[in-house]
Amino acid sequence: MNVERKWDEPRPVLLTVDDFVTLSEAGAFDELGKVELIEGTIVAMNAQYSRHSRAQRQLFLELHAACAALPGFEAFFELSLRIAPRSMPRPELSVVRDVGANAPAEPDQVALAVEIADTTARYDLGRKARLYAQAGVAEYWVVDLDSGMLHQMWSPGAEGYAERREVALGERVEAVTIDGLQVETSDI
Amino acid sequence: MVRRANACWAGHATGLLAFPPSCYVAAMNVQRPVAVEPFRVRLNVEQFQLLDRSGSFRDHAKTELLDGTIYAMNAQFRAHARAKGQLFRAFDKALAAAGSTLEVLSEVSVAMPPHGMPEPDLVVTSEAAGDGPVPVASIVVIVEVSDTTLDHDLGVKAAIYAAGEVSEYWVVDLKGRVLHQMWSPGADGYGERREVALGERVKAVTFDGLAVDTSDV
Repeated sequence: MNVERKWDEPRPVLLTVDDFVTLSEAGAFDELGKVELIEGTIVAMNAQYSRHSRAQRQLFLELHAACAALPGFEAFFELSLRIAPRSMPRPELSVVRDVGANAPAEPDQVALAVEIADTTARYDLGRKARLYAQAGVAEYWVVDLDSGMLHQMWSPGAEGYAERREVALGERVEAVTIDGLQVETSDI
Repeated sequence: MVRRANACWAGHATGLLAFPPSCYVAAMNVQRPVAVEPFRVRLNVEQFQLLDRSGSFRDHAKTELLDGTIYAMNAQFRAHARAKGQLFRAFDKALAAAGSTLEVLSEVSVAMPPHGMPEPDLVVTSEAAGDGPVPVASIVVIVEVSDTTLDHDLGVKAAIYAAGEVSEYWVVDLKGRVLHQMWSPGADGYGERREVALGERVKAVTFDGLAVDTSDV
């Protein structure tokens, strides 16, 4: 980015998806829990408590049931998303079309990505939202357990998601960009 | 630990690419921190070497692993290379004059496991012979020559060498014509320091009899 700086100060090397896969296959992350490559930096999170896990499960069941009526759409837990060249996050839930038999999802295959925010709302609404929007993920939800709100974002672009609305948890939520996808959030 | 990891993450999120060294020190005591918030994963020496072998760094002239983060330098220009050569010869002479069997090496990788593999400009070591990187415990003095990298050398690098218990560290500031001499390493950096004008005869504090003439630098 900054050409002037390029030749001066040492700078951290940002890793690529290939580097990340090389390290992963060598077992580098075996001792860690969930590991993601976010804009060239490897980021881990190794603990998840019951409130978070329960919300994730409930919403998965809802998305899974909703996909049954939507041919071609599949709901996933923690499916890796390959955002070349330097990111490989693992959205907690996703609704995906046409993913390979044994492959990470590509951004244009992800119709909906969901993160459950227990303690990470700022991160999920900030950096993760930018990352998914820049990659072109069509719709993104953040379930903020602390505030009891589901943040729904769509119209991705270089600056982030252009459109958003908030729905109180407990209400029925309709996907904006997937016709016919509705979920109940009363159990979350 | 979780709180500390968060503070580090916040620093990262605000656009700083590297975390302050204080973040790493806290994490170092804990093998597998329990964190429900994202924390940066530090690479170890083996992982760094794996990426090196797989060609990940082929676009960079030089890479170092500093406390789990890989840093790259692209080019080295004349002022830096020349000063380093002059210092190398001055150290070589000073070691001979002191009757020492230690050797000075230039741009050699230093093993600082588990998360460090720097390549200092000069090291004075008792284990110059052998294969592989120089073990950090064999090093008496590390020298970095700063043309454009003074903040990095006095900051990130000083913290890492101190944490690795390198007994003495010199930073030669070519622009300021000053040599920063640091010793008494600890977890919080070097406890003691002084500045000497370049051009003088500089005595190592922690190694008796080593006096380096910097008049040519």
